[in-house]
Amino acid sequence: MTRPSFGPERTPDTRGTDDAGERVLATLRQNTAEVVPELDLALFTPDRTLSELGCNSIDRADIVTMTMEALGIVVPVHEFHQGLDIGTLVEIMRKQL
Amino acid sequence: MSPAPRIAVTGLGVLCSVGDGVTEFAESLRAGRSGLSAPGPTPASGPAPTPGPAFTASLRDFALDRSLDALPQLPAALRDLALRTARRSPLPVQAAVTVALQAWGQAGLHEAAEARERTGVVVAGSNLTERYTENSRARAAPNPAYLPARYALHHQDTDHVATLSRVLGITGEGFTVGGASASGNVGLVNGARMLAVGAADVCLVVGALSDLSELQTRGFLTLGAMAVAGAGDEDDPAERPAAPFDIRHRGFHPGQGAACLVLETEDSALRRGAAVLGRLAGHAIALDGNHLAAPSADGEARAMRGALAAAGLAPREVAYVSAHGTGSPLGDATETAALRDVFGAAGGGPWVNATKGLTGHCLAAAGVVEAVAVMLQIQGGFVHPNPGLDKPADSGCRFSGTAAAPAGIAFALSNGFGFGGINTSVALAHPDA
Repeated sequence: MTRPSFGPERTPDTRGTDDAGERVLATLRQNTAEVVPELDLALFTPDRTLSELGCNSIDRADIVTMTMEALGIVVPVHEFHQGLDIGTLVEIMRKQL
Repeated sequence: MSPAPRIAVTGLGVLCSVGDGVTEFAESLRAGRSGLSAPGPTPASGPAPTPGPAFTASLRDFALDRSLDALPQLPAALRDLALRTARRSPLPVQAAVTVALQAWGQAGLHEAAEARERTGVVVAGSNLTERYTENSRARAAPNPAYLPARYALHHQDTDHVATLSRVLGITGEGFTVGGASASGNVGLVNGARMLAVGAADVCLVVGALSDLSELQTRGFLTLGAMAVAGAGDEDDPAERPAAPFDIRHRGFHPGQGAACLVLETEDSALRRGAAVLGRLAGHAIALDGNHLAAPSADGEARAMRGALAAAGLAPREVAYVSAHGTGSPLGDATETAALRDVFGAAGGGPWVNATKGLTGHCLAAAGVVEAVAVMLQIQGGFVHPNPGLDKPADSGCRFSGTAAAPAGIAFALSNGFGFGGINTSVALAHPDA
């Protein structure tokens, strides 16, 4: 018996799973928890955006800046734009390591 | 044109070295408890150690969540919103949120279904973020890219207004006003005017906490306005700081503090059934035409007479004057001269005390902190003592002594004078007066 389909199969999101990516992801997650402690971090997955988690524009900018500072990298501000999911944010920052 | 509405006070909030909330602050006033202490030597930053302030009155272990948890009537949703909004804000904004929520609760506004577009907010104070900027500059020094994005919001004084409007849902008018050390009274005047012209029914006036930067502190010390360490009394633990108006006075002692008054038209208070704690009966601002730190007895007397005239009062009806009284020898002498001018040189004039002897000089917030102190003394029927006022430099005023004195206060004046000749006075009244 085939399982009923509820839509396209979701490919597992593997971004951020190498060592460098893991480090960026962990730092981003830690800073998200620091900036907005009331968020449910179980929802912190690469396919979601920080906005979907409940971060406002200033929270998001702070989280990114704090993460760059912690990792000792600088990403030009114009590379970040609204609507990037967490996996894409990790990718952008991982390239600077 | 309809007559100007009478302005009621329906809520009070305060956070300073001797009180988080009006209950603790009232106890401190009655006991004459001072929050001043010697901060100890400052780290040497140059070839020779440079003395810092002799005494300071800093907040004791303030934490926004603890202060909010101490408000039993605060709805959980409002507490959560306040924390979510201001958790990462600079200290002055967190202090503003704390005192505003205290006053908001006392006024019963958390339960009121009043139109929030008929509620305004005035924040008293300018240059409130210098310390935040100083700290942020240090953080951004290794790489400017690491300056937190929220700096763009938090470095502006109006962040106070915006944060309060967000937390309290205020959608009427809102702005900041400045008047140096008279900012608090300038805030009260502008809040009262907002109601008087019909732009709002309720207005929160918040005196913002002055969290001085190293540079601001040094400026006041260099000018000789702030009492500097190493000139005597703080080296001896048995010594107390000199009170304002005492012969030992030699400058102001900085204090951290914020406060809030909810001003409301009497009609609005009646309509909601809100308890009226007192009234703002009159007020005046008078400039000296002078840009220096050079007080003028004439300007100060004009401000007091202006407030009395606006309130329809004769000097003899004033039971109590909350002096500006910073502890500056010239400032204190000028104010006592102005008091004699307005109230006469004979005995039997109003009681005079200086709340800065307990709280330190809260600078931008001072006028609002002291208006709260006046309201609490009106309510409690006493004038607070002047600890450390052993020998008045001028015996021409009826200073309160070392213990609180019972006093039935129908009307009081509260003075605030700022650098650059900004003279202000507000008349506060007992609710039954």
